[in-house]
Amino acid sequence: MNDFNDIQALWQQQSTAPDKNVEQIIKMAQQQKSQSIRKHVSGIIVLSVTLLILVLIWTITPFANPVSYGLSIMISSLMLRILLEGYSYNRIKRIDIAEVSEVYQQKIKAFFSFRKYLVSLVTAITLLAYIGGFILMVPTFKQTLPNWFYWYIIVFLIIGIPLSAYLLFRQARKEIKDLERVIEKL
Amino acid sequence: MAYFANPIFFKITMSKQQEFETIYRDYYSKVFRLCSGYASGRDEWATEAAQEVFITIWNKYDTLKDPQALSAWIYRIAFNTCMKRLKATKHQPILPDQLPEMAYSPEESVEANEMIKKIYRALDHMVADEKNLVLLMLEGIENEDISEILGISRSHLRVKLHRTRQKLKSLLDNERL
Repeated sequence: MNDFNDIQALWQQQSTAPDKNVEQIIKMAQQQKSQSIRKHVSGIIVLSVTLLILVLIWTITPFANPVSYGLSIMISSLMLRILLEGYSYNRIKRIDIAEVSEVYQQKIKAFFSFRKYLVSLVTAITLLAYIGGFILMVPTFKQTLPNWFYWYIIVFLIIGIPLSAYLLFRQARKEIKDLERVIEKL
Repeated sequence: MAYFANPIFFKITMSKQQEFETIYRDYYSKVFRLCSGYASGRDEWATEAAQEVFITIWNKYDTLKDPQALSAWIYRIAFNTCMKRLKATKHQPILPDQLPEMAYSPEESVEANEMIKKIYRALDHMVADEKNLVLLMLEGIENEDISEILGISRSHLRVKLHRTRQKLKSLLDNERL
Protein backbone atom coordinates (compact mmCIF):
# COMPACT_ATOMS: atom_id res chain seq x y z
CA MET A 1 0.00 0.00 0.00
CA ASN A 2 2.98 2.33 0.45
CA ASP A 3 3.62 2.50 -3.29
CA PHE A 4 3.11 6.11 -4.32
CA ASN A 5 0.70 5.28 -7.15
CA ASP A 6 -1.51 3.32 -4.78
CA ILE A 7 -1.47 6.14 -2.26
CA GLN A 8 -2.30 8.60 -5.00
CA ALA A 9 -5.21 6.49 -6.23
CA LEU A 10 -6.48 6.11 -2.68
CA TRP A 11 -6.21 9.83 -2.05
CA GLN A 12 -8.16 10.67 -5.17
CA GLN A 13 -10.94 8.27 -4.15
CA GLN A 14 -11.96 10.75 -1.48
CA SER A 15 -14.79 12.75 -2.88
CA THR A 16 -17.36 14.93 -1.24
CA ALA A 17 -20.31 16.59 -2.89
CA PRO A 18 -20.49 20.34 -2.23
CA ASP A 19 -23.03 21.21 0.45
CA LYS A 20 -23.92 24.45 -1.33
CA ASN A 21 -24.98 24.99 -4.91
CA VAL A 22 -23.49 27.55 -7.28
CA GLU A 23 -26.22 30.14 -6.66
CA GLN A 24 -25.65 29.96 -2.89
CA ILE A 25 -21.89 30.41 -3.35
CA ILE A 26 -22.42 33.41 -5.65
CA LYS A 27 -24.86 34.97 -3.16
CA MET A 28 -22.37 34.45 -0.31
CA ALA A 29 -19.58 35.93 -2.44
CA GLN A 30 -21.63 39.03 -3.18
CA GLN A 31 -22.56 39.46 0.49
CA GLN A 32 -18.96 38.99 1.60
CA LYS A 33 -17.72 41.57 -0.91
CA SER A 34 -20.19 44.24 0.18
CA GLN A 35 -19.57 43.47 3.88
CA SER A 36 -15.83 43.80 3.40
CA ILE A 37 -16.19 47.16 1.63
CA ARG A 38 -18.64 48.39 4.29
CA LYS A 39 -16.30 47.33 7.11
CA HIS A 40 -13.26 49.10 5.66
CA VAL A 41 -14.98 52.17 4.31
CA SER A 42 -17.39 52.86 7.20
CA GLY A 43 -14.55 53.82 9.58
CA ILE A 44 -13.03 56.13 6.98
CA ILE A 45 -16.45 57.74 6.33
CA VAL A 46 -17.07 58.41 10.06
CA LEU A 47 -13.61 59.97 10.42
CA SER A 48 -14.08 62.00 7.22
CA VAL A 49 -17.45 63.41 8.36
CA THR A 50 -15.87 64.44 11.70
CA LEU A 51 -12.99 66.02 9.79
CA LEU A 52 -15.38 67.92 7.54
CA ILE A 53 -17.28 69.34 10.55
CA LEU A 54 -14.00 70.40 12.21
CA VAL A 55 -12.77 72.03 8.99
CA LEU A 56 -16.06 73.96 8.70
CA ILE A 57 -15.70 75.23 12.28
CA TRP A 58 -12.03 76.03 11.64
CA THR A 59 -12.88 78.19 8.59
CA ILE A 60 -15.26 80.38 10.64
CA THR A 61 -12.84 80.64 13.59
CA PRO A 62 -10.49 83.66 13.76
CA PHE A 63 -6.89 82.72 13.06
CA ALA A 64 -4.07 82.68 15.58
CA ASN A 65 -6.07 82.01 18.72
CA PRO A 66 -6.21 78.93 21.01
CA VAL A 67 -9.37 77.61 19.27
CA SER A 68 -7.85 77.68 15.79
CA TYR A 69 -4.63 76.11 17.14
CA GLY A 70 -6.61 73.41 18.92
CA LEU A 71 -8.74 72.75 15.85
CA SER A 72 -5.64 72.63 13.64
CA ILE A 73 -4.09 69.94 15.84
CA MET A 74 -7.35 67.94 15.88
CA ILE A 75 -7.72 68.27 12.08
CA SER A 76 -4.11 67.25 11.48
CA SER A 77 -4.38 64.16 13.67
CA LEU A 78 -7.64 63.14 12.00
CA MET A 79 -6.20 63.71 8.53
CA LEU A 80 -3.17 61.59 9.36
CA ARG A 81 -5.41 58.80 10.59
CA ILE A 82 -7.69 58.96 7.52
CA LEU A 83 -4.72 58.94 5.13
CA LEU A 84 -3.15 55.96 6.87
CA GLU A 85 -6.47 54.07 6.98
CA GLY A 86 -6.96 54.78 3.27
CA TYR A 87 -3.43 53.60 2.54
CA SER A 88 -4.01 50.49 4.65
CA TYR A 89 -7.25 49.67 2.77
CA ASN A 90 -5.57 50.20 -0.58
CA ARG A 91 -2.58 48.08 0.43
CA ILE A 92 -4.65 45.06 1.54
CA LYS A 93 -6.75 45.35 -1.63
CA ARG A 94 -3.62 45.13 -3.77
CA ILE A 95 -2.44 41.87 -2.16
CA ASP A 96 -3.39 39.16 -4.63
CA ILE A 97 -4.50 35.91 -3.00
CA ALA A 98 -3.67 34.08 -6.23
CA GLU A 99 0.04 34.88 -5.87
CA VAL A 100 2.65 32.22 -5.27
CA SER A 101 2.25 31.21 -1.60
CA GLU A 102 5.66 32.40 -0.45
CA VAL A 103 5.15 35.88 -1.95
CA TYR A 104 1.62 36.07 -0.59
CA GLN A 105 2.81 35.13 2.90
CA GLN A 106 5.52 37.80 2.80
CA LYS A 107 3.08 40.49 1.68
CA ILE A 108 0.51 39.53 4.32
CA LYS A 109 3.17 39.50 7.01
CA ALA A 110 4.43 42.96 5.96
CA PHE A 111 0.85 44.25 5.90
CA PHE A 112 0.06 42.89 9.37
CA SER A 113 3.26 44.42 10.76
CA PHE A 114 2.24 47.77 9.26
CA ARG A 115 -1.30 47.35 10.63
CA LYS A 116 0.10 46.57 14.08
CA TYR A 117 2.14 49.76 13.98
CA LEU A 118 -0.88 51.72 12.76
CA VAL A 119 -3.20 50.33 15.42
CA SER A 120 -0.79 50.76 18.32
CA LEU A 121 1.53 53.73 17.86
CA VAL A 122 -0.44 55.83 15.39
CA THR A 123 -3.70 55.36 17.32
CA ALA A 124 -2.03 56.52 20.53
CA ILE A 125 -0.35 59.54 18.91
CA THR A 126 -3.44 60.69 17.01
CA LEU A 127 -5.66 60.25 20.06
CA LEU A 128 -3.29 62.20 22.29
CA ALA A 129 -2.98 64.97 19.66
CA TYR A 130 -6.77 65.04 19.32
CA ILE A 131 -7.27 65.34 23.10
CA GLY A 132 -4.43 67.89 23.32
CA GLY A 133 -6.07 70.03 20.62
CA PHE A 134 -9.39 69.88 22.47
CA ILE A 135 -7.80 70.83 25.82
CA LEU A 136 -6.15 73.86 24.13
CA MET A 137 -9.62 75.23 23.42
CA VAL A 138 -10.97 74.83 26.97
CA PRO A 139 -9.86 78.31 28.30
CA THR A 140 -11.62 79.97 25.35
CA PHE A 141 -14.74 77.89 26.02
CA LYS A 142 -14.72 79.20 29.62
CA GLN A 143 -14.61 82.79 28.44
CA THR A 144 -17.12 82.55 25.61
CA LEU A 145 -19.61 79.80 26.37
CA PRO A 146 -22.47 79.79 28.92
CA ASN A 147 -21.38 78.40 32.27
CA TRP A 148 -23.56 75.27 32.04
CA PHE A 149 -22.16 74.40 28.61
CA TYR A 150 -18.62 74.93 29.78
CA TRP A 151 -19.21 72.49 32.67
CA TYR A 152 -20.86 70.07 30.29
CA ILE A 153 -17.63 70.12 28.26
CA ILE A 154 -15.49 69.63 31.39
CA VAL A 155 -17.60 66.67 32.50
CA PHE A 156 -17.31 65.24 28.97
CA LEU A 157 -13.54 65.70 29.14
CA ILE A 158 -13.29 63.96 32.51
CA ILE A 159 -15.68 61.08 31.78
CA GLY A 160 -16.20 60.87 28.01
CA ILE A 161 -12.63 61.09 26.80
CA PRO A 162 -11.13 58.47 29.17
CA LEU A 163 -14.08 56.20 28.39
CA SER A 164 -13.68 56.65 24.61
CA ALA A 165 -9.91 56.18 24.95
CA TYR A 166 -10.44 53.01 26.99
CA LEU A 167 -12.85 51.57 24.39
CA LEU A 168 -10.54 52.54 21.54
CA PHE A 169 -7.49 50.99 23.21
CA ARG A 170 -9.41 47.85 24.13
CA GLN A 171 -10.36 47.43 20.48
CA ALA A 172 -6.78 48.20 19.42
CA ARG A 173 -5.37 45.69 21.92
CA LYS A 174 -7.69 42.99 20.58
CA GLU A 175 -6.63 43.72 16.99
CA ILE A 176 -2.93 43.74 17.99
CA LYS A 177 -3.34 40.40 19.77
CA ASP A 178 -4.95 38.88 16.66
CA LEU A 179 -2.24 40.37 14.43
CA GLU A 180 0.54 39.11 16.69
CA ARG A 181 -0.89 35.61 16.65
CA VAL A 182 -1.00 35.60 12.85
CA ILE A 183 2.47 37.18 12.44
CA GLU A 184 3.93 34.62 14.84
CA LYS A 185 2.65 31.77 12.69
CA LEU A 186 3.84 33.28 9.39
CA MET B 1 -14.89 18.08 -28.96
CA ALA B 2 -11.30 19.05 -28.11
CA TYR B 3 -11.95 22.74 -28.70
CA PHE B 4 -14.37 22.77 -25.79
CA ALA B 5 -11.35 22.28 -23.55
CA ASN B 6 -9.66 25.30 -25.11
CA PRO B 7 -9.79 28.06 -22.50
CA ILE B 8 -10.13 30.76 -25.18
CA PHE B 9 -13.21 29.13 -26.66
CA PHE B 10 -14.45 28.60 -23.11
CA LYS B 11 -13.97 32.28 -22.29
CA ILE B 12 -15.76 33.63 -25.37
CA THR B 13 -18.81 31.42 -25.36
CA MET B 14 -19.78 31.18 -21.68
CA SER B 15 -21.10 33.72 -19.23
CA LYS B 16 -19.28 34.26 -15.94
CA GLN B 17 -21.87 32.20 -14.08
CA GLN B 18 -21.68 29.32 -16.57
CA GLU B 19 -17.89 29.37 -16.39
CA PHE B 20 -18.08 29.37 -12.60
CA GLU B 21 -20.51 26.44 -12.63
CA THR B 22 -18.05 24.45 -14.72
CA ILE B 23 -15.16 25.36 -12.42
CA TYR B 24 -17.20 24.50 -9.33
CA ARG B 25 -18.15 21.12 -10.75
CA ASP B 26 -14.66 20.26 -12.04
CA TYR B 27 -12.60 21.52 -9.13
CA TYR B 28 -14.73 21.08 -6.01
CA SER B 29 -13.38 17.64 -5.07
CA LYS B 30 -9.78 18.64 -5.84
CA VAL B 31 -10.02 21.80 -3.77
CA PHE B 32 -11.81 19.94 -1.00
CA ARG B 33 -9.07 17.28 -0.82
CA LEU B 34 -6.42 19.96 -0.75
CA CYS B 35 -8.18 21.77 2.09
CA SER B 36 -8.68 18.45 3.82
CA GLY B 37 -4.92 17.89 3.68
CA TYR B 38 -4.49 21.17 5.52
CA ALA B 39 -7.20 20.31 8.01
CA SER B 40 -5.85 16.90 9.09
CA GLY B 41 -8.93 15.42 7.46
CA ARG B 42 -11.43 17.50 9.40
CA ASP B 43 -14.46 17.49 7.13
CA GLU B 44 -16.16 20.61 8.48
CA TRP B 45 -13.03 22.74 8.32
CA ALA B 46 -12.26 21.54 4.79
CA THR B 47 -15.84 22.23 3.65
CA GLU B 48 -15.72 25.79 4.98
CA ALA B 49 -12.26 26.40 3.51
CA ALA B 50 -13.31 25.00 0.10
CA GLN B 51 -16.38 27.24 0.23
CA GLU B 52 -14.16 30.24 0.93
CA VAL B 53 -11.91 29.28 -1.99
CA PHE B 54 -14.87 29.31 -4.39
CA ILE B 55 -16.16 32.58 -2.96
CA THR B 56 -12.73 34.08 -3.71
CA ILE B 57 -12.71 32.53 -7.18
CA TRP B 58 -16.06 34.20 -7.96
CA ASN B 59 -15.00 37.56 -6.54
CA LYS B 60 -11.57 37.56 -8.21
CA TYR B 61 -12.47 35.84 -11.47
CA ASP B 62 -12.17 39.04 -13.49
CA THR B 63 -8.55 39.39 -12.36
CA LEU B 64 -7.54 36.08 -13.97
CA LYS B 65 -5.38 37.31 -16.83
CA ASP B 66 -4.50 34.04 -18.52
CA PRO B 67 -7.32 31.47 -18.81
CA GLN B 68 -4.68 28.82 -19.64
CA ALA B 69 -3.37 29.27 -16.09
CA LEU B 70 -6.78 28.68 -14.49
CA SER B 71 -5.73 25.50 -12.72
CA ALA B 72 -2.57 27.03 -11.21
CA TRP B 73 -4.61 30.10 -10.22
CA ILE B 74 -7.19 27.98 -8.37
CA TYR B 75 -4.58 25.91 -6.55
CA ARG B 76 -2.71 29.01 -5.42
CA ILE B 77 -5.93 30.54 -4.08
CA ALA B 78 -6.67 27.26 -2.30
CA PHE B 79 -3.21 27.10 -0.67
CA ASN B 80 -3.29 30.72 0.43
CA THR B 81 -6.84 30.44 1.74
CA CYS B 82 -5.98 27.34 3.76
CA MET B 83 -2.84 28.90 5.22
CA LYS B 84 -4.74 32.08 6.07
CA ARG B 85 -7.53 30.12 7.76
CA LEU B 86 -5.14 27.86 9.59
CA LYS B 87 -3.35 30.85 11.06
CA ALA B 88 -6.58 32.41 12.18
CA THR B 89 -7.80 29.26 13.95
CA LYS B 90 -6.30 26.95 16.50
CA HIS B 91 -5.14 23.62 15.13
CA GLN B 92 -7.18 20.65 16.28
CA PRO B 93 -6.17 16.99 16.14
CA ILE B 94 -7.64 14.61 13.60
CA LEU B 95 -10.90 12.89 14.50
CA PRO B 96 -11.33 9.49 12.82
CA ASP B 97 -15.08 9.79 12.34
CA GLN B 98 -14.68 13.02 10.40
CA LEU B 99 -12.90 11.54 7.42
CA PRO B 100 -14.61 11.84 4.02
CA GLU B 101 -16.58 8.85 2.68
CA MET B 102 -14.61 6.35 0.59
CA ALA B 103 -15.95 4.17 -2.24
CA TYR B 104 -14.73 0.82 -0.88
CA SER B 105 -16.12 -2.41 0.48
CA PRO B 106 -16.20 -2.62 4.31
CA GLU B 107 -13.03 -4.80 4.44
CA GLU B 108 -11.12 -2.60 2.02
CA SER B 109 -12.51 0.45 3.71
CA VAL B 110 -10.83 -0.31 7.05
CA GLU B 111 -7.40 -0.58 5.42
CA ALA B 112 -8.03 2.36 3.10
CA ASN B 113 -9.27 4.59 5.91
CA GLU B 114 -6.28 3.64 8.03
CA MET B 115 -3.92 4.60 5.22
CA ILE B 116 -5.76 7.87 4.57
CA LYS B 117 -5.50 8.74 8.28
CA LYS B 118 -1.80 7.95 8.09
CA ILE B 119 -1.41 10.30 5.12
CA TYR B 120 -3.10 13.07 7.09
CA ARG B 121 -0.84 12.43 10.06
CA ALA B 122 2.19 12.46 7.75
CA LEU B 123 1.00 15.80 6.30
CA ASP B 124 0.77 17.13 9.84
CA HIS B 125 4.50 16.43 10.22
CA MET B 126 5.41 18.50 7.19
CA VAL B 127 6.14 22.19 6.79
CA ALA B 128 3.90 24.25 4.51
CA ASP B 129 5.92 23.96 1.28
CA GLU B 130 6.40 20.19 1.69
CA LYS B 131 2.69 19.84 2.39
CA ASN B 132 1.81 21.87 -0.73
CA LEU B 133 4.08 19.69 -2.81
CA VAL B 134 2.68 16.42 -1.46
CA LEU B 135 -0.91 17.58 -1.96
CA LEU B 136 -0.18 18.50 -5.59
CA MET B 137 1.63 15.18 -6.17
CA LEU B 138 -1.31 13.31 -4.68
CA GLU B 139 -3.63 15.11 -7.09
CA GLY B 140 -1.43 13.89 -9.95
CA ILE B 141 -0.50 17.40 -11.14
CA GLU B 142 2.26 17.49 -13.77
CA ASN B 143 5.68 18.76 -12.64
CA GLU B 144 5.49 21.66 -15.09
CA ASP B 145 2.25 22.82 -13.49
CA ILE B 146 3.56 22.25 -9.96
CA SER B 147 6.53 24.54 -10.63
CA GLU B 148 4.11 27.21 -11.91
CA ILE B 149 1.77 26.84 -8.91
CA LEU B 150 4.57 26.96 -6.36
CA GLY B 151 6.67 29.51 -8.26
CA ILE B 152 9.85 27.45 -8.23
CA SER B 153 12.20 26.46 -11.05
CA ARG B 154 11.95 22.96 -12.52
CA SER B 155 15.46 22.02 -11.41
CA HIS B 156 14.70 23.14 -7.85
CA LEU B 157 11.39 21.31 -8.03
CA ARG B 158 13.10 18.04 -9.01
CA VAL B 159 15.30 18.25 -5.91
CA LYS B 160 12.36 19.14 -3.68
CA LEU B 161 10.18 16.39 -5.15
CA HIS B 162 12.85 13.82 -4.45
CA ARG B 163 13.37 14.95 -0.84
CA THR B 164 9.65 15.30 -0.14
CA ARG B 165 8.84 11.86 -1.57
CA GLN B 166 11.56 10.39 0.66
CA LYS B 167 10.16 12.18 3.68
CA LEU B 168 6.61 11.05 2.89
CA LYS B 169 7.79 7.48 2.43
CA SER B 170 9.70 7.43 5.70
CA LEU B 171 6.74 8.92 7.54
CA LEU B 172 4.33 6.39 6.05
CA ASP B 173 6.74 3.53 6.80
CA ASN B 174 6.97 4.64 10.40
CA GLU B 175 4.91 2.18 12.42
CA ARG B 176 4.46 4.64 15.26
CA LEU B 177 2.92 7.39 13.10
